[in-house]
Order: sequence, then structure tokens, then C-alpha cells
Amino acid sequence: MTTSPDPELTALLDAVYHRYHYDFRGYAEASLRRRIGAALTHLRCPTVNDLRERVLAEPRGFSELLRFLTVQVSDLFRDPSYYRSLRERIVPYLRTYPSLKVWVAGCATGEEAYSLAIVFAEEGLLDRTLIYATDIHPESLRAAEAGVYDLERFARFSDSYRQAGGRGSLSDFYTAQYASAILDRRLKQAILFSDHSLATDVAFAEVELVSCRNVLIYFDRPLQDRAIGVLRDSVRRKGFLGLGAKETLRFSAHAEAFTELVPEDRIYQRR
Amino acid sequence: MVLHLPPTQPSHLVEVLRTRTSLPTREPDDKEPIVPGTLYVAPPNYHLLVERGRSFALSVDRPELFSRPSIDVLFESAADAFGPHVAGVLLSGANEDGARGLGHIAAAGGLTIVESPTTAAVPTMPAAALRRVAVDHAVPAAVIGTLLARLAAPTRSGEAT
Amino acid sequence: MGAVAYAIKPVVRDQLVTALRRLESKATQSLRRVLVVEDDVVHRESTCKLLAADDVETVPVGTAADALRALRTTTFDCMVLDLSLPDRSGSELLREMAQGEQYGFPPVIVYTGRAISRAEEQELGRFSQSIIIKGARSPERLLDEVTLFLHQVETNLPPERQRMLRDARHRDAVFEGRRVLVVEDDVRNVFALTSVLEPRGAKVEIARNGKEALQHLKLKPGVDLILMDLMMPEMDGLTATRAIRADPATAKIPIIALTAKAMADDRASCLAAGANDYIAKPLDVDKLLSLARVWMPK
Repeated sequence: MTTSPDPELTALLDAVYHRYHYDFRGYAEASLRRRIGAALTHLRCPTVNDLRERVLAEPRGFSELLRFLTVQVSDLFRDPSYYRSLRERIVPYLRTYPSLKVWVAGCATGEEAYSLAIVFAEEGLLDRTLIYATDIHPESLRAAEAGVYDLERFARFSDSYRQAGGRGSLSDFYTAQYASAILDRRLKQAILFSDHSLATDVAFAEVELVSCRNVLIYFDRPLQDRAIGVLRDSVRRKGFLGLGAKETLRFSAHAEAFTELVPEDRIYQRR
Repeated sequence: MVLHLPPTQPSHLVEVLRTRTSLPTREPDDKEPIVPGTLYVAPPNYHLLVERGRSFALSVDRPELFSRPSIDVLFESAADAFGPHVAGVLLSGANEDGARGLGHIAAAGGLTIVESPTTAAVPTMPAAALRRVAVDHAVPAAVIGTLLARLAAPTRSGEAT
Repeated sequence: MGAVAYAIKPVVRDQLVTALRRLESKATQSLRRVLVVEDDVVHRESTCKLLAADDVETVPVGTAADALRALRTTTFDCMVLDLSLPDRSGSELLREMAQGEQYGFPPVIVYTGRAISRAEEQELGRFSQSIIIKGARSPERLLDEVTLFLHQVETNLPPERQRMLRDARHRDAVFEGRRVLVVEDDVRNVFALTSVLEPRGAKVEIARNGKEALQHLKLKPGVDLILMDLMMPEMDGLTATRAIRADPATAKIPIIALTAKAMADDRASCLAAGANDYIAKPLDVDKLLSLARVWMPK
């Protein structure tokens, strides 16, 4: 029942920060321990201290560890009701802007950014929209930019797309080849994939919509507050912030800066 | 409480349970403090974990044994957070999820209970646990409630089932 | 009184009186005044009705000429402008307002029924605080934006907005309508560059690596200036710079390299590759502007 963090874990994260400038020190512990545990097994390190030495000695070991530390997995149209609410409640408001900027913070392998791009395309807004999609993991960003996913996932994606209020067929937006599907070029052209860390960087743009889903769950409370501060600084007045289905501003110091617009889908509006 | 559910549908488990129990029942939000006497249900398509600071955490890491939420993930984090002050109960189920987690709880000195495979609708899950862990109790599901009540009465402890 | 009036040239006197009247009205103003410029009577009335409140006076006009007349004599806290007017276009009206000191220049909200191109948005953005496309949710947003301006006088505006207002009046023509190709994969720098160049009238185009830059130059010739990052995926800045110099169609476009901070050999190698100049990152925005000014073709 102790709350003091594990010293070996702390030493590993400090080393990673000082050597590679990736800051995991404010990550929530329970998930972090699981991820490190998986890395230990995979890299055949008996203890966290061994892992630390390995990572300090060889950058390749660090890239491998990084993959374990940043593994969130999403789907196209994960939580269809979120996208339905965006379409029905938020898009009419976004239409009043002559041009739009959207930020997908923590885009992992890009599913979220593409889902938004599809909604915007169907609503006729994509031509006037720039979507920033950022993550700290270079490999994920490369995968996101490629926009290639296993074809077997598309049955589920299509189902979610329909539940999300899709106007046509998801297949309008991808080309299937053998066992994979590649997403459309016109979606990619609207998205700028880039490196950004909610743990160490600050706001880089003022946008009408920030979608940051299932990223904050990996942060402890102080880091969540920092990250939500960055999101707040990035959303223009009366702009929108969408979080994951089980994420909330309720415990945040910045709750006052937002109103709950669609509480059931965790969509907030900047005051 | 973790139940394996399809990831793309909202779950009605909370409503169902509310008709059968007087305990407050809910899917916790991320970072929600754990309140005693409350029944928490893992939300679909997330892993539910327990933090040492007595709050919940969620993750969208890969499914384990094709399951998200995963029983192993919850049990292992609860064993880390609560040590001997946790009880894990494993009921009927179609895969081996939960067996490893129950082993963690046992190793941390927590209480382990498994539904007897003979009365379980699908025995795979409890049978796997019995093969792997020397559990404290293996009893029919109908008895587990009273057993827990009796065990919980003298001491107060954090529970995760 | 008469003697005083006599001592001053009549034109100057008129200006003085007008100025005094404006000062006076500003001083005694507890009412907030909104100028609504809209040619369609029905829309004009519904906008006025939407904005009506106890402490808000809406002044409806239907032409640009009437708008200018009102702006000469009355101080407004905010102006709502439809773009299609019978006597001139909304942007012409804005430019006219910006030219002379004889007009008050309140915060302007463009409220329009038609879609707006990027170029128009940029043009309008220099004179107006926000642009609202009419639609189901636009009244709500109009009300939000107007309320914002009614509760701030110009000095309370954030410095950036104030600077925008001033820039709109005294901007310099070097960047006006110029096309700047930013070759950079880091969004922070892209944003920093866009946010200083666009308000000055430049059109910023983005390529994420050297390869995209070359494609861009081929597909959309006529770029005036290139800002080139050196470290990029796919094709780095040096390779791209050399390729641009090797192609007669692009050989003359000025290139400013964005180099990493303490890398002395970066500078030498980017000049050797054909860049005209360099600036170190993190970018000092004012310095970059002067540099861009220097290299922008006349």
C-alpha cells in the first residue's frame, strides 16, 4: 500500500530522460510497470537495473524499450458515438470557420487522425482543414504516415464507421491489396504527422478542435495537469476538446477553463 | 469486476448489476479514487488497473489473451498495489485469462477463490487457475457470496474481484 | 469661440471638431455600439435583434458608403460586416478604412453566407478579427465573438491583436502576396513561421521534406522564397538545395537554410550547397523577418 515509487524504476526513467530526452517520469505507475515488465521479458533482462544498463550502453536497446513504452493500440472509429457526436454536434459549429485546424495529440499509428479526416471529408470540410497529428514515437509516426493497416481489421472498422454515422462505405476511403488496406491520399494530404511531447513541449498552434483520446490515462495526475494545460493553450476560445470515453477533466486543475458540452462522449468546449 | 465483452458495443452490465445489488455500481473513470463499498466494473475495450495511491487507472495497451479488459492485468496490478489486502475471485469463462493474475495475488499473500469447474457454465477459466495456483477456496458460485461476507467481516480490506 | 475658429484653417477645424466629438462620445459612452453592415434587410434586422441588449446599441447600415460615414462620426466597439455590399466589396471597404486616419477602426467580424478561399481568408484576416460563415450554428458564434469585443477596449486587447491592428494599418509591402515555401517537418517551426509570415500578407506553402519540396516547385512554380530545414526524413535539406540549384527553372529562388544551433559546419555546408543565407534554430522570429525581407526578390 506504499505510494513511494520503485527506486529501480525511477533510476531507469531518469537515465532514459537524461540520455535520450524522452520523459516518462510522470507516467502512471501501474501501466508503466506492466510495460517495463514486458520489455524485460522481451529483451531478456532479469532486472530493471540490467535493463537500465543495457539501454544506456546501446541506443538500439533504447529503441526497443521505447516501443514497449508507447504501445497504445487504437482502431478506426474507436468509440463510434464519439465520432457521431462530433459529426452531429460539433461539425455544425466548425462550419462557421473559413478554415480549420485540428490537433490529434498522441496519434500513435494514426487511426484516430484518419477517422477524423474521414468525418471531415464526408462533411465537406476536409479541403479547408489542416490536421496536426503528433506523437513521441518515431516508428508510430512512420506507420501513421504510411496509413497501411491489416485488412482483417476492416470488418470491425466498417462496423464502427457505420455506427459513427458514416454516410457511405468505408471502402470509399481505402484500397485493399492482398492482406492490407491503404488509406486514401486525399486523407493523408490533410494530415501533418509530426513529433510532439505533451510531457515536455508546449502548445504550437491555436486550433478549433483538439482530440486527445486515451493518452492522458498513461499520465499521473501532475503530468495530466501539465498536458491538459498544453491542450487548453492550444484550443481557441469556444473551440473543442475531445477526450477518451473514460477520461475526464473532473480531477484537473484546468477543469474551469472548459464546459462539458457532450458529457457522455467527453467533448468539452473552451470557455 | 471484469467481464469479457465485445469491444465495439457499449456495455449494459452496470444496469444489469444495479437491478441485483444495493451496492453503488459503476464503470470508473481514469484516476477515479477507489471508494469502499462500491462495485466497479471494467469498461469495455480498456484494461482496468489499480494504482498504489488507491485509485483506478485505465489503459489501451494490447489485449492479453485476446481480452481487453483482461483479468490478469487487473489482478496483477491489484496484487502490486494491495499486497496481502486483496481477494481475487475467478468465475466461469472460456479462456485462461485470470490464472496468471490469481497466481500473483497468491504470491503477494492475497486471498484466492475460484468457482468449482464442475458447477461452472464454462469450466476452462477456473480449471486453468486450479492447474496453476494452490487457491484458498474452490467452491460453487452460489456459495462465494456468503464466503466473501464471512471472510470480509472481521477485517477490512481492499477487494478486487 | 469665433476667434479661435477663425485662427484655424477650415479643413483643420472640421477635423478637430470631429476628433473632439469622437473623444467626447467615447468618454460618455456607457452604451456599447455595434455597427452592422449588411445589405439584406431581413438579415440586417435579424442580426440586430440577435445582438440587442440593454447596454448595446446596434447601428444598421446597408452600404459601404453609409458604413464609412458612420465610422467617421461615431466610435464603435465592434463592426459586423457582410461581404457583399451594393457599392463595393467588403474587403474594399476594409482597405479603405485602413487607409485613412479619419475612420475609427473597431474590431471587425466578417459575417458571410459564402465559402471563403484561403487567399481571401488571409486577405481578410489582416483587417478583421474573425470570420464567421453563416449556418445553423453561426448566430451562436457571432454572439460569442461580439460579446468578446464589447467587453474589451482596444488597449485591453492582447498585444498580439493590437499589433495586428497596427500592422493592418502600417504593414509593409515586402511580403504582400509573396509565396514562401517552408520545407520543414517539425510542426512547431511550421507554425512559428506561418504565424509571422501570414499576417504580413505572405502565402505560406508547406513541404515536409526535400522530396516534397522538389515536387511542389515542379507542380506549383513561382515560389518567391524558400525556407529550408536541413534535417528531414526522405530527402535532407542539402540534397534538396543542390537539386533546386541544378534545375534552371528554380536555380534563382533565394533559399534560407534553417540550421541547428551550434553547428558551424552546417552553415558552411548549406552555403556550399547553394543556400543564400542561414538562420539558427530555435528561430528568432524578428531576425527571420529581417532576413526574409533582405532576400525577398524585389
